[in-house]
Amino acid sequence: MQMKKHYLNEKRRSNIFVFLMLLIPVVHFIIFWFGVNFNSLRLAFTSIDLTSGTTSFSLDHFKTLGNLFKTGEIRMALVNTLLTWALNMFLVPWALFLSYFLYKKIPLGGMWKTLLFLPSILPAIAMTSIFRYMIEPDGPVGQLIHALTGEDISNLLAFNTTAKWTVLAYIFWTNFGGQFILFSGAMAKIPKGMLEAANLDGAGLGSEFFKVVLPLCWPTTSMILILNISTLFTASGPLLLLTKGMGETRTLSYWIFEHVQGSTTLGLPAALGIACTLVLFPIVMIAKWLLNKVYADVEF
Amino acid sequence: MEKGIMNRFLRGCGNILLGIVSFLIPVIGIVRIAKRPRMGIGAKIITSIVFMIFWVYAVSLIYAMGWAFMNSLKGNLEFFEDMMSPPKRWLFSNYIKAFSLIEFDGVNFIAMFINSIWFALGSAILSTLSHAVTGYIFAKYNFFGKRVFFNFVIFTIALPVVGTLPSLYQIVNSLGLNDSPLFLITALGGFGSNFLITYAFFKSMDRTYMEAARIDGASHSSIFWRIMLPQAAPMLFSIGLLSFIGQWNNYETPLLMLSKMPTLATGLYQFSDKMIFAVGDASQTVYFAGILLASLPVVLLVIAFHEKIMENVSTGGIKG
Repeated sequence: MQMKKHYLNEKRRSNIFVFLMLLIPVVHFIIFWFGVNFNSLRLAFTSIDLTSGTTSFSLDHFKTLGNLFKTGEIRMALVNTLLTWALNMFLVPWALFLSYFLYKKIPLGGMWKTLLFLPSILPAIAMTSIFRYMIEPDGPVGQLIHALTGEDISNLLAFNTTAKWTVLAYIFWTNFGGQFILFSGAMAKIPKGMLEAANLDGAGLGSEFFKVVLPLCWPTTSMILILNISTLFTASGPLLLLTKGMGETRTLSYWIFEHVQGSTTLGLPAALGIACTLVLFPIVMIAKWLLNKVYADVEF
Repeated sequence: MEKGIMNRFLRGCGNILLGIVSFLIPVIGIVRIAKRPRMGIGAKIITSIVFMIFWVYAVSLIYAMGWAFMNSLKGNLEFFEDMMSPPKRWLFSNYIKAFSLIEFDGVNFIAMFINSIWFALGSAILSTLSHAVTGYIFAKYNFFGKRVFFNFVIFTIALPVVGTLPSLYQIVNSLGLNDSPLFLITALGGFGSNFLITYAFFKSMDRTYMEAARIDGASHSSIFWRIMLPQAAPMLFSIGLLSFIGQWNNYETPLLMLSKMPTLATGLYQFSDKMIFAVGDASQTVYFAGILLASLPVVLLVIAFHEKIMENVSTGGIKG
């Protein structure tokens, strides 16, 4: 009896503790996950009658989006988003490649690691400001191009023909090492004996990379690829700081940001978000399924 | 005249030094690669090419930082006359001026710095603690609905939701959290991607400590705060540090939600916009000093803790 009472008291104490500890995170989750997503749906499927102020269920925002796609505004943003995303996807194997050489103890590896990490910790406002001035006609890049070709460059971020590619160049410059830390972490776990055995069997750099390192790092690689695929419609450079969307550089996420900042019609960007989520969800699931099939999970 | 000769002399010395360093580093690197035993000629060539790629990238970054620092020490006129030459007079006073001249809507650099501190530090601490709490409870306690809730949380983390910004903006405004330190409430969520890290960490911790402490009469909260949390401190510190850096550099959220309380990231952005039309003292070179000052805290943090960050960040996040 005494034991049972003690057990019940203990159980009650434990439940009270769990309740109190989870209270704030759960309330937060209800407001900022359920609430936010429910409100997104409400904004996307509601239209307001400006004369009477009444709201009603409507697909008007989706129709407007369709029209904006036809006129080119959304289509251009989509193309820019996909270009940025493609560059980000390219940077994943690129970072894996660089990480492999860091793992192989390339000379000055510590310095390269620090420098690869630097752009990801420096404020974007600092990096973009430096970049903007450096590519001015009188800046170092302008002077370098002048010295090499004899041509003066114009303001690369101001014109439709060059702005988009300049933004992509900035993304490449600042994400050069990309996810190298995650790859380095994965490679550090590879048992040295495995590589030594491969080398004794006569494996060169290429065989070692493709037949030993890549399969063993595949869980990390596929995770990073899936994370990148899930940014298919949100990929963007720091457009606010570089171009403010001028020079035909707008991406979908910047388009949403602009509409929120303008606070004119929140329903329209919310509808775009819903449409993108509906398209993206199956893509991510299929990609996850496919990537899991490439290499079997390896325990080591 | 003498100043001109001195300046040319310094520039010449700088160029020679730069030339030696630029030439020496790749040569030393390639020689070291060439001397490596048990490496085929093809592998040596590829490694040398990759070494050169690293070197070119490093030069581009170091040059950019050095160029910004050099121009932060010039006068405005001098900067526009020649962006490439070293300063005629090294105006370290630009760094002092940055504190008074950089301002937006009556908020000066120091106020922006304070806003950055409370926003970044507050968000990092609250978010890390919340994730520690949720990870611990889900890893160590059984309660009604745990499995369902856990699976749902994992589902929400994996769900690629796009464009919730308009909705979040409206909710934050309607709750009156915008333009107020109360905005930090939004950082209290414990079910973000860091939940996976804290959950995995506490799950791998032995229950023996908890059970021994319970037998000794320790309460559940004492066990959490005095026994479990200190053991998780290195892992939580890494999460917190990365979160702090992320929020320090965040400019989009504060621009929308804290428009009247600009942080350094948003304040400098707005100042740079205003600067285009400004005359007089609000110069580009003082702005350069400002952006370098704004970068200093995160650079110092990374210098101090880079080993920890590099060690702790591994596959799937951060390990303890």
